[in-house]
Amino acid sequence: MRKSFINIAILMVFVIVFGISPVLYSQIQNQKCLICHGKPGFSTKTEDGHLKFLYVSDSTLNTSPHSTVNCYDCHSDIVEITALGHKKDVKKVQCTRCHFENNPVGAPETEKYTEFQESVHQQERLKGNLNTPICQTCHGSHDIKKRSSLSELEMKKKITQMCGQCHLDIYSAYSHSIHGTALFEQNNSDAPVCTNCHGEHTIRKKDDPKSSVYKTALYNTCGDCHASEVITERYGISSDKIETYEESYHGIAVQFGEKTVANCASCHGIHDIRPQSDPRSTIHANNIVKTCGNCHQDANVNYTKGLIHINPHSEESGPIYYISSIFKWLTIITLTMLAIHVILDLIKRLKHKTIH
Amino acid sequence: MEEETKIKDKINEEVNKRLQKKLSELELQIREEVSHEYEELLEKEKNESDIIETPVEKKDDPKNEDKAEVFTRFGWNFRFQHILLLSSTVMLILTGIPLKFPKSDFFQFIINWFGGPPGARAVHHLFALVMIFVGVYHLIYSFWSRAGRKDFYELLPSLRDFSDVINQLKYYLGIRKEKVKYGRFSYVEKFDYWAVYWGLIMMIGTGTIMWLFQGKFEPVWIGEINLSFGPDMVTNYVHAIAREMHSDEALLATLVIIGWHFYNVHLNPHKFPMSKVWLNGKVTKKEMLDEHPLEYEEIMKQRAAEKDEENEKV
Repeated sequence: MRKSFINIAILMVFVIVFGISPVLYSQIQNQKCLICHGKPGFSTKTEDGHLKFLYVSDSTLNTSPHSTVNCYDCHSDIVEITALGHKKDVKKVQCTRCHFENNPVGAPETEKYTEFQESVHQQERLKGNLNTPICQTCHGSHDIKKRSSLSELEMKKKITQMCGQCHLDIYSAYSHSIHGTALFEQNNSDAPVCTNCHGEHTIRKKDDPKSSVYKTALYNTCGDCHASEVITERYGISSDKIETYEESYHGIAVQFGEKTVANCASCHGIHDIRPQSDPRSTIHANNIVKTCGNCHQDANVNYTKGLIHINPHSEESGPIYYISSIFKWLTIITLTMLAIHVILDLIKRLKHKTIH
Repeated sequence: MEEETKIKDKINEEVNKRLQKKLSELELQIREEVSHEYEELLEKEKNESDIIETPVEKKDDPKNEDKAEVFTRFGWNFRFQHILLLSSTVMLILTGIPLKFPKSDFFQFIINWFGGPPGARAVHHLFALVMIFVGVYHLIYSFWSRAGRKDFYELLPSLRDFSDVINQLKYYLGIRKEKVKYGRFSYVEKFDYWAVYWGLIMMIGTGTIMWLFQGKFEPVWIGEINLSFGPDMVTNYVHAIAREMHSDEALLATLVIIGWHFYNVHLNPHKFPMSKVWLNGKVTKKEMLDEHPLEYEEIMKQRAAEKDEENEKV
């Protein structure tokens, strides 16, 4: 009895020493940095005279997914700390120190790290533009949070704000669009935000043929939602807009790689898409002629008479539905009759080749 | 005794019946053999005549003339129209039908071969002009030219064509033994002709509506043909209807050409690989007797009448 108690006690010691000590160790390590950085209001003056706050809250660190990581692990260029502090030209943290594929420290395994290398933001940085965002610009640094800690709606709102920090004009256009009002005013988590169309780590220039918003690829990106029956049904809008676009001359030309032809955005707008009922909408009855006129110089009021997205298989299309049906049956009947004639003729000729 | 004679009569009757049946079968067989031999003979003579070019001698020999006589079925004007129609149709199909199947790699290749949508469009517009030209040309031809007028009357559908269809089907099914005799144009050719008539009216009509809506037409090499009054005439509503008809009729026409016309003039065992009448306009007496016996009779009658006239003059 007594012996087994001792065994358990020894085991407990081992568990504490080897299991909890890394956490404690990092805590102890971080304690040293937090002597200064743990003081609220701790700041320094940058070269251009701005005040830079350097306060890092203990609780922020401990609630982040990096709670077991200590300061040195990321700020690896700080090797010496004296009573006066450390060197001033501290480099930006390189997340790729841990976040790469097949890493040994247990950072999440994903292709996003390499995908980001091809993105427009990283490519521009490699060209020398240091204003481009890096990992911590969007994900945060000390206050980094796991994706699952936010709800869909919170995350979407945060994404627009993150992108909006730099792309302010687009943010304001977006926030007045039908998608933006759905997100901000109606708190609708189905509303697409920047990343739904542009991608996250794979974000590319709109002129890049691999981009999800490239001229010939855009309609598929819009189709992620607008061709989805689940989503369109929820809002009582038709799910055949992409299909009908593909059947229109614009859509056909796009599928053959034509780049000067209209896609979704050419008519509906890009970030400031508004419903047709909105007088500021590019497809409002008063504005259609002007919108068509962007490409068709001869566009006049006749362009507004009649449907644009026509589904010949739907009865709503009126005469086009009937014409399409008549031709379908005309083709089937004609070809069946001709096929019968051809087959009979062929059989007869093969049988009596010489007589004929 | 009476019963015996009755039985004998019955047997005789039965024998006669069977004999006739056998005879008719035998007749068919012999016919087959003879026609086969005749065909070979004709071919031999044709080959020989190809080698030894002595047309003057042949004309003097009435026997040779009779066997290898060649009739001009289509004059140069008719053939010229057919070639224009054929080339424009092929090019219009190549540049038009792919638009119905943009997801197909094969059609992607074809459109790229024309230089993408703008190139295909320019070629389409050029051959549309050719097709409009041949349509108008044919209208004038069939009213002004004597040959054209004659052919036009011959091509008008008649009640006889309907009975011909039924008789031909009976012949195919073996209900009817003898072949159906046709005049200059059989119902098959009449169908082809009027199908093209309908097709041209539809395609040119709807195509013109789309041209008006766009206001401009860009045939390759010619440049741009503007109809600035066009957009005022056609609404998007009418344009959409015209486009649907243009597209549906195009598919129908293409399928009929590939399945029906190609079979009748290329793929059927009698014509394979191709009937040359569209190039040289000539048919042999054999083909004449085979396909247009009534026309042959007519020609013979006419010739006899001409001879009589000449004799009278003499």
